[in-house]
Amino acid sequence: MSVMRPLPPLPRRPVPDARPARTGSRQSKPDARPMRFVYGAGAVAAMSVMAVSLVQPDFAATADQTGATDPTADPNAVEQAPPTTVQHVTQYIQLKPGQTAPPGATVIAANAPTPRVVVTHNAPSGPAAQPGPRQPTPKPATRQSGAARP
Amino acid sequence: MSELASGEIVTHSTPSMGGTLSVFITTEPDRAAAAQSDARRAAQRVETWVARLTRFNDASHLSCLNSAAEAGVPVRPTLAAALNWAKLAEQRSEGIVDSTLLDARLAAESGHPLAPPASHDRTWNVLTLGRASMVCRAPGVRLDLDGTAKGWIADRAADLLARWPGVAVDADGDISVRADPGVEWLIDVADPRQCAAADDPVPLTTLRLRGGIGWSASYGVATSGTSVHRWQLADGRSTHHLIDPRTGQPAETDIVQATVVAPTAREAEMIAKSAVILGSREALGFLARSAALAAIVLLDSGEIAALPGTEVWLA
Repeated sequence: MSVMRPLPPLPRRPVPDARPARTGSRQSKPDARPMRFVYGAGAVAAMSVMAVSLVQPDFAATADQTGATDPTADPNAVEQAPPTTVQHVTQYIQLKPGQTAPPGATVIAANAPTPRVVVTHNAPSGPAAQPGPRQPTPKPATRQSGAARP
Repeated sequence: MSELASGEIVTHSTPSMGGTLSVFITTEPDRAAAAQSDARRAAQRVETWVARLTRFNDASHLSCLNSAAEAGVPVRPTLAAALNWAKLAEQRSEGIVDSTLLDARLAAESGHPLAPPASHDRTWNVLTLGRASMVCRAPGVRLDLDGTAKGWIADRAADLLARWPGVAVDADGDISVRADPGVEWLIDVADPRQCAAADDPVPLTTLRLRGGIGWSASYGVATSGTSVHRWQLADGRSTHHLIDPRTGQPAETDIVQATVVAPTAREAEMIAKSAVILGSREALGFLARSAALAAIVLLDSGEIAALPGTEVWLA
């Protein structure tokens, strides 16, 4: 014969909290880009290489060109300097009171016209100086207008 | 050079402006007839403009303006455009090219130059609203376009012929030039020391004007001087037609002739005339400040001077 016994009370249902319970240590998520530090370091290294290549001096140009430090160079070889062209530019300065011109300088009076002219050839040429095939015929001519009066 | 070498030059010349108007067009041989027709039409247009702008015809628009008594006179578009350039030339020449010196010039030509003017009011201006223009001037001011109209006409005629690869409009010595790539023009500079009637005069020099590399180039070449249009006064002195606005008299100058290459013929004419009036001492500085691309100046001493860089324009 079975005896009816009351059931034990149900365990109390925990009241759900609106906020999740804080825990002492947050669990970290897995790193989505685990190689980012490696990539960054590589980029910095590449930038450094490019910057150095841009700013480094031209060692080849500044190296001794005579070959004196090269043990394989012929010590009897005559150095061939490249031909150089020097263009003399005449410049004019205006002397201030008390100043003297350097030796050999051409002194022009202050009231003379400004020496900015070049003298061209006069009455040039003849037919030889003008290329034949390009010669328009007849040729325009600029001249003073009007007519001479008696 | 290919177009010039394989093509030909069509020329049309006619008496105009007291001298000769010549139109040169470079073209292929099969289009020579069309070029000749265009040259003739351009010359006819020039005659129309000259009839409006000359002071030698009492019926011209300029003569009507000068004879009007009112201070403000309406003017037609052609005269207004020419006067606008004359005003601009006055500014760019620093006052040396002055279109109000008609009375001084007429007096000089008569052999009795006017006394130096007192502070005579010669102000004038062109007011334009749309296509309507009006000239306002001080009392007694009469205008003369003889010095500025030829270059202006040459430029305007060359604009009419812009469809041709090479164009040169010679308005009695003031030349407007257009040159497409491959086209070049050789232009003689007359030597005033030679007799004008010589059969084959040797030029002072020859200028070479080329088309641009990939673009069409425009130039103007003009010559001004005191050796051609001159005469003797009653006292035996010799004088000329270029009036110095600072004195009201024919200019005292040591420049016999000045030839200028500039972007346009009207600018070249203005610069050349200013250089002659100023004389060599002031002209060299003025030429350097101006729009001149090249300049060749013949002095009364026989020397020939040129702006730096002129040599690249010589043939």
